[in-house]
Amino acid sequence: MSRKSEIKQFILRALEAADGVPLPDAALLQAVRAAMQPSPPPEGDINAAIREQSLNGWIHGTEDSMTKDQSWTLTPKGQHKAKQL
Amino acid sequence: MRKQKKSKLDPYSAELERWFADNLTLDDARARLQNLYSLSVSPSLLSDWWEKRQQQRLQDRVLEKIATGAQAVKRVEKQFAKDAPPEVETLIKLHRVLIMQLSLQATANPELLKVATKAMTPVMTYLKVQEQRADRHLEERRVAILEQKARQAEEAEVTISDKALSPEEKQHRLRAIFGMS
Repeated sequence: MSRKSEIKQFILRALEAADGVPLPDAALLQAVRAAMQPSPPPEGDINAAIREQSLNGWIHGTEDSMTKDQSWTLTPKGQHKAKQL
Repeated sequence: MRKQKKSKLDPYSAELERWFADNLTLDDARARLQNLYSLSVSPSLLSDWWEKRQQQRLQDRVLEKIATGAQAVKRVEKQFAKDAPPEVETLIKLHRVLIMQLSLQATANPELLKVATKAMTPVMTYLKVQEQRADRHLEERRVAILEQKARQAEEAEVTISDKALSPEEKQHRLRAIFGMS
């Protein structure tokens, strides 16, 4: 499995573990980095993978109106996919 | 643990983990596999298997931390769900971010786990104070009801013993005292 696919899969698994609680952008980034020690992928790669998962309809982002922070949850399609991993 | 490609080493994973925890080298482990189970594996196969196993365990630990953090968030949000003023809702959102970030960073720095736990303390204190306030309010209400009942009993007694009143007047006044008119 390529590094990119590994990141994308882990994003789905992380959001599945959050069990519906919106995971803040920074926390998701930190989770991927923590899970891929000792050589974590660059932040840009993780952000690109998150965007790609969002564009493909696996995950859904919501922005907090006050802090402007983005949080992520699985879409129903993403939940189904995460269970298969 | 998630599905991964099967390896002939998988049936021996528990033993291998115990051996490596006892500081056995890869070569020692290979020799033991050969002696105990007549299983021959190359150094690279055992090394790759162990690396993947470690990676898997690391990922599982991170996922466990996410799940624990999410459960903490759910517990706090459930406790605040009743009549939480908007300012508290904002605090909850910020607290959620804090707990999740600290829980995850604690993978690299265990000291942060203590910080994450401490971060819960002010919230729990606030909840305790709220609970005490609710208890006090209930107690005050109970006392007020008892006082009202005592007043009504006193007034009823005066009314009943008033010889100047007719039975109809007494009944009318008693109904008024107990709010039945």
